[in-house]
Amino acid sequence: MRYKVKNIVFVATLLCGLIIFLISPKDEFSEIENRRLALFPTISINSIMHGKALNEIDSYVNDHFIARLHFKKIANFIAGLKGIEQDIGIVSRNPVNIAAAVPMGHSQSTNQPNSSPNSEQAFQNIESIIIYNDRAIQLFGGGTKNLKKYNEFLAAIKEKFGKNNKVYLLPIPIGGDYYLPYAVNKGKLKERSNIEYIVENFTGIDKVINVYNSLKEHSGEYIYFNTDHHWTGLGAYYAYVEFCNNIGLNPMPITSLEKGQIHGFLGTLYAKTLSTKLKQNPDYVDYYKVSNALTMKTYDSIGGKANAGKVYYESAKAGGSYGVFLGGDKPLVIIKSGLNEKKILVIKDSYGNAFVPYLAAHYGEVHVVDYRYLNGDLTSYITKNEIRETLFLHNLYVLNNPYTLSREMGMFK
Amino acid sequence: MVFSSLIFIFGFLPITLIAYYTTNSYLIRNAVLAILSLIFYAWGEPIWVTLLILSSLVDYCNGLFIEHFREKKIAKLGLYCTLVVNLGLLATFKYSDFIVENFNAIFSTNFSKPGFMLPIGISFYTFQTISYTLDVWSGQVKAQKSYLKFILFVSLFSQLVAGPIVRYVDIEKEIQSRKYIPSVFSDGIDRFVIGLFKKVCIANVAGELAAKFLDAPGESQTISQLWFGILMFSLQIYFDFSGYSDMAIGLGKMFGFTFYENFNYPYISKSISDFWRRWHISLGSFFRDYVYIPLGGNRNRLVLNLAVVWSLTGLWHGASWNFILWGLYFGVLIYIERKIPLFIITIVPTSVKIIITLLLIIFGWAIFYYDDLNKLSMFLIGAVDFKNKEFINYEVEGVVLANIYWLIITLLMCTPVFNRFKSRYLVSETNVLVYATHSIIIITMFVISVSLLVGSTYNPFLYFRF
Repeated sequence: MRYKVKNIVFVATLLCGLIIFLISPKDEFSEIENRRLALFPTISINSIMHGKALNEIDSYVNDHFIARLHFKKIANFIAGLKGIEQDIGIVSRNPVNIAAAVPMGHSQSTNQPNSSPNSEQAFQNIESIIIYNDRAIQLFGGGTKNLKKYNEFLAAIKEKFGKNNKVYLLPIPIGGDYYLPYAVNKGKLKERSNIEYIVENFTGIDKVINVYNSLKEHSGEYIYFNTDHHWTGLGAYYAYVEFCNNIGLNPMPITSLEKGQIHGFLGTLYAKTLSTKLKQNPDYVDYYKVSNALTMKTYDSIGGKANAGKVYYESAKAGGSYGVFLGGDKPLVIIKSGLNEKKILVIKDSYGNAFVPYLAAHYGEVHVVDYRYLNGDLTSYITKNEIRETLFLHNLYVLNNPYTLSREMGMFK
Repeated sequence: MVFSSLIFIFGFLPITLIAYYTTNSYLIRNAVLAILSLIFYAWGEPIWVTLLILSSLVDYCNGLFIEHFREKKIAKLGLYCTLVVNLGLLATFKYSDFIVENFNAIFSTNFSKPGFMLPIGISFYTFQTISYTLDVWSGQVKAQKSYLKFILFVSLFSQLVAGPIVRYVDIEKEIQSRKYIPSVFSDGIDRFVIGLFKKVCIANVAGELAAKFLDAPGESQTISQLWFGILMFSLQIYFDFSGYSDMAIGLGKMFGFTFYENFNYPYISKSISDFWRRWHISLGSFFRDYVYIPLGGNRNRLVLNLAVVWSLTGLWHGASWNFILWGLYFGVLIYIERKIPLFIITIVPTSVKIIITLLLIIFGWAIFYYDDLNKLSMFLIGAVDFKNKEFINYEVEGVVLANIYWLIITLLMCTPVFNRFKSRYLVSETNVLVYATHSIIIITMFVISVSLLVGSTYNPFLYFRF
């Protein structure tokens, strides 16, 4: 008897599931997951024969299943019971292509870069992404073997220009050294070693600006994002202070700058890991405005048409919030402050976007080149525009990547 | 369609059960099952139903042909026909790329690979229909005259897509007449839920961990991650496949069919020979009965027979050299086991036997996993590279700890402990408390499985490439 009851209950449960599914209204959009839910596919003989319609019906059923979100909550709860929750979440194991993969500002500006870099080439020395204390941290894997050639390259540039052009290098730490737990890096500070090598060996140029210790001192402050691979406007500010101290400029106090803030920023490392921890603690982007009187023009190539640009794209939002700085990565931008006749050329990656606006407080013209997107001859550009100072501004991944060297050598033939 | 999907559990299954049980007529019941089974099969890729029907028609006719001309020489035609057609189908749709590749390599030609897509379940239904024809030939069964009943045998959704390989002789009676016995149906429900749990909660979890650690063997940081990865794969493939077989057996029971067990706790095997009597039993016995014994078994040409059977067993699993290597690996081990003196077998404690066998099996899975021989060699080198790699790091440690309870339960499920516990304490004709506990456990397993299915992105089925 009890078997009959059980059998009937089982079949009835399944049947109820079916009926309720069929008659319940279907949502179109899931707020929580921020995506459209699958639509019921159009049926045609063709789509059935090749299995496409049926696959789509499967997705449709999965997306609209009864009490789907409740079941997901149960699933998350169960998943948490599998073992002892760890502080350190290891997410991605394979080399991650971040810097070049997301040309910042792609969606916002109307000026598209002429050529996107081949994503395979612009890859990073990343072993994995760790999530620790609600922060996504990348592991810097590189040794110093690629730096020797870059050193020679920079020394050759300096030699070519001689006294006419001061050449600086500012290597930017990724932040792993400051935030990784001992269990992960066993106390080995690879970024520090890398920067120390640079300071010791890159003697052919005028100055290597070492911001490692300064950033380390401020590492308790919000100088790196938790969900994105970039540093913040504040982190760039401290590097800017160090830059000024090194070359004899007077840095503006941060209190004299007007601050703006963009909330709800989930950056590249969130996109890569989709970690719920990161999602629950989104970033915000603080930007410190040097002045409202700055003008900026963007160019797709040297001598190309000038397009309007803004130093601060204050309408940036959501995943593109970092694009508040310069509107993203452009081949060439020129920021004019009208302060004086001094000019500086900065060759940078996307970290540079947060840094270069500060230079506009000291230079009448700041010429900014993204090493990935500009093709052209910078040697003659520097001479023609009478630029007397050149800053190479790169994060450690980019600095240690042979692709960077090959791109820049192409610009300084 | 797969069993472990919402559309099957809450769509196909209730509809089929209700359609089946609304009538008492066997004719209608068989028709319902046959038609719905074909729809089930067609749901994945409708076009391949044609091959299924073709294979079944051919062997339906072969069976009748052999029966009609029994004792006459011409009956052999039926035998050749089944082999040519079914093996031909396999050669074309499963092995043609492999054949062309090797032909090109040997004769330095440059034929392009046909690139056929693998029809689901082809390795199962071709073997089923071959076994039918061979059994008719040997007189074990009489040919089935009703095409409806025959196609039911071939296409029955519970075992069509991923086994067990069911022989006609085993379900001949049940095709004719089945009874609804409440306790059997109830067992079927239990079995189905257990299988679903194994698939969704154990195999899928193990699979994600395996892929994480095994997919880039050349870049592994530690030795333990490779071993842990292979251990996870060993668990994944066992629970994936045995879970599916459980569901098949459970579903069969719901419709009055009894299928034989396909797995019998293979990871507590005491030897490799023992292992193959516990793993994918229906395949092992197929090769034993239809290839090994007809070739002479262990009476003459033992080495050759073993080589043939084990290469074929490996090859059945996939059209790539690593699978053949995997099969031969076991062939060699089985041969060696036969040569071990009896006194050693009796002296060695059972636990040692089990451990050694497990290591051999797990190592075998490494050969099975990497169909790229390059990656396989990177794995093998990395797995013993004590000089250049550290043994364990925070990552492996973290993953093990983060899954430790799951891991313990999974390892226990490889042994009969839960089953024994159930047989002793959870089976009672009279005790209501026992009945309630049993029901609560089944309900919980079902709810957990459905929850994990909802919105999960990772739900592969490994033996699906057969």
